Amino acid sequence: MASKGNLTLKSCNGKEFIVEEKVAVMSTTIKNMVDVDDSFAQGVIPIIGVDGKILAKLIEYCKEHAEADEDEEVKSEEYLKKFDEKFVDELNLNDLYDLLKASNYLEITKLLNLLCQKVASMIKGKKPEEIRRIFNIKNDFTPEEEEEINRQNPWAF
Amino acid sequence: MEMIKGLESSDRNLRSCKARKCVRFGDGNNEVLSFMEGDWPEWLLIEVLCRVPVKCVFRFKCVSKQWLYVISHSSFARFYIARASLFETRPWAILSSSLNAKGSDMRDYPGQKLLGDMYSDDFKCPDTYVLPMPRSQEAYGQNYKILAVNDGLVLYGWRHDSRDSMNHIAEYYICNPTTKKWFALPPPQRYFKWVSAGFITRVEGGTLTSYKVVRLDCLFRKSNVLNFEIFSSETGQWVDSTVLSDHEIEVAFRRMPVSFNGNLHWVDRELGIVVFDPYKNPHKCRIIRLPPDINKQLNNSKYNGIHSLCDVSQGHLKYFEVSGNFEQQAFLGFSIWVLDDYITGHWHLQHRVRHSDILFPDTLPRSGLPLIPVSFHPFDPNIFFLGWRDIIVSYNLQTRRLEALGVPYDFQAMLQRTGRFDFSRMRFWWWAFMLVLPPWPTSVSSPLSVA
Repeated sequence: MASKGNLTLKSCNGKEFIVEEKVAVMSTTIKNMVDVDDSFAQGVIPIIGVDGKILAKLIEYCKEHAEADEDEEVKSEEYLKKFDEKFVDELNLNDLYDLLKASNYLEITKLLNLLCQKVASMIKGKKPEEIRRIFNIKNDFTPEEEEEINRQNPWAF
Repeated sequence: MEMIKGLESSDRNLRSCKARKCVRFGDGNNEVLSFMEGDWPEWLLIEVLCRVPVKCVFRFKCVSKQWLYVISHSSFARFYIARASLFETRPWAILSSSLNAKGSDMRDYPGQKLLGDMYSDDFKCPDTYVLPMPRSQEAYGQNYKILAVNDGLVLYGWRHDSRDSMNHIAEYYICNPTTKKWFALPPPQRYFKWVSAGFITRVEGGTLTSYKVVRLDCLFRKSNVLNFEIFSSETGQWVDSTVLSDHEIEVAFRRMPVSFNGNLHWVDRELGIVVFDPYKNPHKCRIIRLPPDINKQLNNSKYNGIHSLCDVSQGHLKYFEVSGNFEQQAFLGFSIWVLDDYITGHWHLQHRVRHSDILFPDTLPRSGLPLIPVSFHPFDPNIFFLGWRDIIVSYNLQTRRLEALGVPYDFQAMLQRTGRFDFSRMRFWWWAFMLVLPPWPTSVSSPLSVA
């Protein structure tokens, strides 16, 4: 049972995390749950579809940012920038994708922006075939179709 | 693997995510795990693609059918434009009116600094811009002119001088210099002795939906009658239009009309800004009086308006005027006014500087030669561009300092190519256009009547 001002979040594989409310409500989804229904604030909030590992990552991110939002002097913009960089650099593709889904579902806008920016930086400047290889995307065009599409946009190559 | 377990239950509960299998590549410590297999959730693809340069986005159409579908959807262009408009300043360049058929390249000025980084993968690598010159065999030499630039589209034409008209454009073209897509308008029907041409575009979601090309007969004298010939994308035809005004109007021929609020704006130095709306009212024009504190002694019409400029900056019409005695090459300074209220015509003086207070860098000798207005900076409200001798300089309203922006990159080459271009008579920047690339290249392939 969480003490006052704290919330308990439970992952889909049963792991429980006690976090400060200000950290948890960085998720708009959780904020709405707590606002609408008092019982969530008292009991356990199930985070559907997010496992313990990913939930821990989410909490790590929200904690840094919630504290920074509260007191700008403790954590400078520069510090947060470095934290963000390190945070996304350490992710493998699997975690990156799971975090994207989870931050979208939980509506953690700042994190979602950060992660989308990370994927954007991975594809920027690449050739289509490189993107297919990195992200394991199947080329479902015939060679003729692909040629026709490229012919329409010669300026982009 | 902890990463793999529990995925099925998680996916089932998340919106628009397809169930996936995780594919493992490699072995040992160098293992690489796939992002996911199959289609990305559409929201993710959209969120990611709107964060990459537009050139990459167009290239990525051939990644897969899903990517092609998302990128080609009209709502994606709207989303991309809306997001880009919030954050970024965009590449821009000052284009000179003169085109050269032999070289077939767009004259840009000053070269590398301003045109160097248009749409590209990293906004840094140079790209070149080419305007098609369909009649280049016949029109060898200096006979193509840029007439207007709007929404990243260039209105230009093949100039054919004759006894009836001194600057007749025999064929007008509209081109997106990025995608190189272009089309020609049918030839205009009227021969005006001197023409001043304007261009209005309507763009929605990255697509040109409507445009007008307006030709005004410049009489070089005051007249109550203004004769126009207007081309409309809706009808695909040139139509005559006459305005009978209560005022005697003589527009400044040296200045191209400015497109703002869906209207065109010419300057009559004595009367004010002549506002013409070819969409709603092609038989009327409105006058916005010039600021009351302009230098009344200055007879600008004598120089066809070269010392003044009506331009758009920061969402307002602005009026720039140089003061001095130009016959004696006495340059005194300049002033900038902002039109606060488009309807009532209320101006305020934004900036005024005397010649002696302008800071000239060592590379620019201070002289009595007037600085000639060219354009406002498209994004920085404190920067203004001026023509000075053969170069363009920037002026900072805060520091009052001039900076030379360099010389045209192939100034000499052009001289050799064309031979007959008389620089002493005609400066590059006398007719110059600010090209700002839109976040999304304006599509001109939509089924407008002439496209």
